[in-house]
Amino acid sequence: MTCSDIRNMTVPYLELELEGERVHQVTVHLETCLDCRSEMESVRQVLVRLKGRVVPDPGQRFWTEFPGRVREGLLHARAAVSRPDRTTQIRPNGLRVPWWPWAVAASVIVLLGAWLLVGVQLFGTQGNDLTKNSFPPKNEAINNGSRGSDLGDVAEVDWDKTWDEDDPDMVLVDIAARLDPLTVDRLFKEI
Amino acid sequence: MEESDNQLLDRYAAGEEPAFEELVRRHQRTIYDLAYRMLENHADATDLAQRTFVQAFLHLRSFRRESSFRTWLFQIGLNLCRNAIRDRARRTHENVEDLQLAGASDIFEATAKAEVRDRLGSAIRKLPERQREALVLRVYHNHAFAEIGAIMSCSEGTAKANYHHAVNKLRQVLVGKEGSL
Repeated sequence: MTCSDIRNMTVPYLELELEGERVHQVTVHLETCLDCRSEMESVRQVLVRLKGRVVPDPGQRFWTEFPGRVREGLLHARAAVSRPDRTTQIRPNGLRVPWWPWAVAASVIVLLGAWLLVGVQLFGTQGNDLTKNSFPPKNEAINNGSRGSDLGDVAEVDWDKTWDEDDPDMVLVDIAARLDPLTVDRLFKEI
Repeated sequence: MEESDNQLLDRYAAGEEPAFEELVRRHQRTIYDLAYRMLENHADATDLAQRTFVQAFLHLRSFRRESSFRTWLFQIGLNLCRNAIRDRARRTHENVEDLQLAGASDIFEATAKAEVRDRLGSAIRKLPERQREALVLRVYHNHAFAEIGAIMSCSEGTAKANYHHAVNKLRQVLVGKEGSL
C-alpha cells in the first residue's frame, strides 16, 4: 500500500469506516511512515477541533416558546397564501374576477385576426392563380407568334364577371383561347 | 413507546394540534443547530429554523414519505440556508463597497482580528457551499453519506468527495497558517 492510498483512507480510518483488513494495512503503514503518520495526526486534529465547536444554547425559554413561534409563522404564511394576488383582479363593485378569462379572450381575438389576415392573402393569391390558369399563360401566347399579345389580353379579362355558360360566343372564345394561333387564323378565314 | 414522525404527521393531518407541537419539539434543536452552523448567528438561525418548519407544514402534502421527516426538514433547511447565505453575500458586497469609501485599512484590520479570534471558523466560511454543507451534516449531525446525498440532492459518492475535500482543505489552511497543529 502506497502513501497516496493511505492518504485517501485517512478520513475513513479516523471515522472508523474502514473494514478490518484495511484498518490493519493502514496501521502497519503508519508504524513505518512518518509522513503519513504526521498527515493522519493533522487530519485527526482538524476533526477534533471541528467536533469541539459548539453552538451556544439559546436557553430553555427559547425552546419552550419556539413551537408557538412556528405556529404563528405558519398562520401568517397561510394568510399570505390565501390573500388575493395578481391572479385575480377586483372590480369596482367588489366582485373578484379571475384575470385569465380576459387573457384567453384576448389570445383568441389575436389568433382570429391573424387567421383572417392570412386567409385573405391566401384567397387573393389563389383567385389570381385561378384566373391565370383558366387561360393560356402569357408566355405561352407570346411564343405562339404575332397573335400572342391578343391572347394575352383575352387572358387578362375578368371572366368571372362576364362568364355565362348559356352564351355560346363565350364558350367559343374559351375554346379559341386554347387553340394555337395558326388554327384560330384558319378558322376565322373560313368564317 | 414513542410515536414515530409519520404517526405524528397522521395525527396532525387528522386535526390533532398536539402532534404539531410534538413534531416541532422533536426536531427544533437539530434544525436550529444546522442553521446556526451555516449562518453563525442566533438571530438568523432562529429565523431560518422557524421558516424551515413553516415551509414544511405549509407544504406537507408534497412530503411523500419516501425519506424520513427529519431528512425532509434538513432538505428544506439547507435550501433556505443557501438562499440566506447568497443574500448575505450580496449585502456584504454592498457594505464592503461602503466601507471602502470610509477607508480600506479599517476593513483589513477588522478582518485580521476576526481571523485571529476564530481561525477554524474563518476556514470553514471560506469552503465552497457544497463542501461546507457536507461537512456540517457529517461532523455535527452524524449523517451517513447516503443520507447526506439525499439531503443535498447528489450521489453518495459526491457527498463523500465533498466532505473529504472539505476536511483536506481545512487541514491545509490550518497547517499552512500555523505551521503545525
